[in-house]
Amino acid sequence: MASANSVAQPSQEYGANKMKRRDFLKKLLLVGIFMLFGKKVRAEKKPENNLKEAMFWRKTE
Amino acid sequence: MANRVQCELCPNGCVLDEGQHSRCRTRMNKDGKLFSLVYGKPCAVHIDPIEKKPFFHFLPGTTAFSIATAGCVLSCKFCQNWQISQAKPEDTDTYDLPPDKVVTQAIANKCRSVTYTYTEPTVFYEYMYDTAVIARKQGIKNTMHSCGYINEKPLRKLSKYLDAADIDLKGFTEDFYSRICSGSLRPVLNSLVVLKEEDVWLEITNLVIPTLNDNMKDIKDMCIWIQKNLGSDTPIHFSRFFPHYKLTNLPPTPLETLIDARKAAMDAGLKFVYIGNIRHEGESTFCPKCKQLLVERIGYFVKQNHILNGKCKFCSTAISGVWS
Repeated sequence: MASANSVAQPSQEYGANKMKRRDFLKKLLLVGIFMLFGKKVRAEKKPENNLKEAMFWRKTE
Repeated sequence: MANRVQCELCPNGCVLDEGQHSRCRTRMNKDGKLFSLVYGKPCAVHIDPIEKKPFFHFLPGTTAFSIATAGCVLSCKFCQNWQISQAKPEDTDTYDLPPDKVVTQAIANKCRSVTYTYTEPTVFYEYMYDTAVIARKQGIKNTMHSCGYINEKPLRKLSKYLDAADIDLKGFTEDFYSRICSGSLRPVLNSLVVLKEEDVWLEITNLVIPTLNDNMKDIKDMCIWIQKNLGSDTPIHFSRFFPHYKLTNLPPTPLETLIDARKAAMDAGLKFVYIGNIRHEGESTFCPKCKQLLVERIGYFVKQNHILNGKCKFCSTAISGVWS
């Protein structure tokens, strides 16, 4: 029985690793989506997108 | 540089090449034109008692719809709002509140005035001006709390729509303005005179900072200047300093210093001298003739008001201010 257990272990570990990798990829995808979303929000927040010409200024030589 | 521009709003007079930002952080040269980066984007929006500004002779007991954007034309080491005044616009969380919405919100919240405050309103001049024009049309008063570091031309233009201004006269020496605020005293004095000429109701705030501007001779000189140039009816508020920003090494202003400053101002002939940021009878208004208590204040709140139609209820002396 002991040997059977020892034989079964590698495949269980392999299965666990496979799940972890899948979870990791899922998380990576989610992080990527959030990062892209954050970048979009920051871009919209950039003050250069809310420009209003100033009232008191002049061009210099 | 063909696309170089100069900002003519404040005495800093920033000269900016393509892509550069002004010292106040709120203006940018883009394609050879100067743009405001904060129009309609306040980072602070609050409803405050008008006494908080502080205005003690302007619609007492009313509320002010108060707005500010990021940025400031000065860099005072004692700034009480440095988190927003010394920040870039993009580093603050902002509201989308164009001028017409400011006025709509002020009316909806039963505010008698819109106040441009917290940071330095000069940096959001265009936003302030457009809002002030709409507010005036809707019967809402316009007030600002400013350091007065603005050029004469824009100030005169704004004054047509401004009902009251509280100007920080931070000290009375060029050395103080230069070392502590990175600015200059002369333009501030000029702004005070301009506001008086333009018939804008004027109050002055002086933050008394231990060891830096609490010299009684300077305070007396300042009060004499106010009396001569702005009149003895100009209210002055001596505010208590608390350690902030880059001046955390200094203690809060002792009450005795504020009382001495108040006495110096009264000796110089000023009729309405207040003490702020501390509980004291100097928060209240007394009739300059019969000495009766007219407006009793506790902090920002008016407990009783004995001014009727702009006059002392007891002796009928006219009390300068905007009372209704």
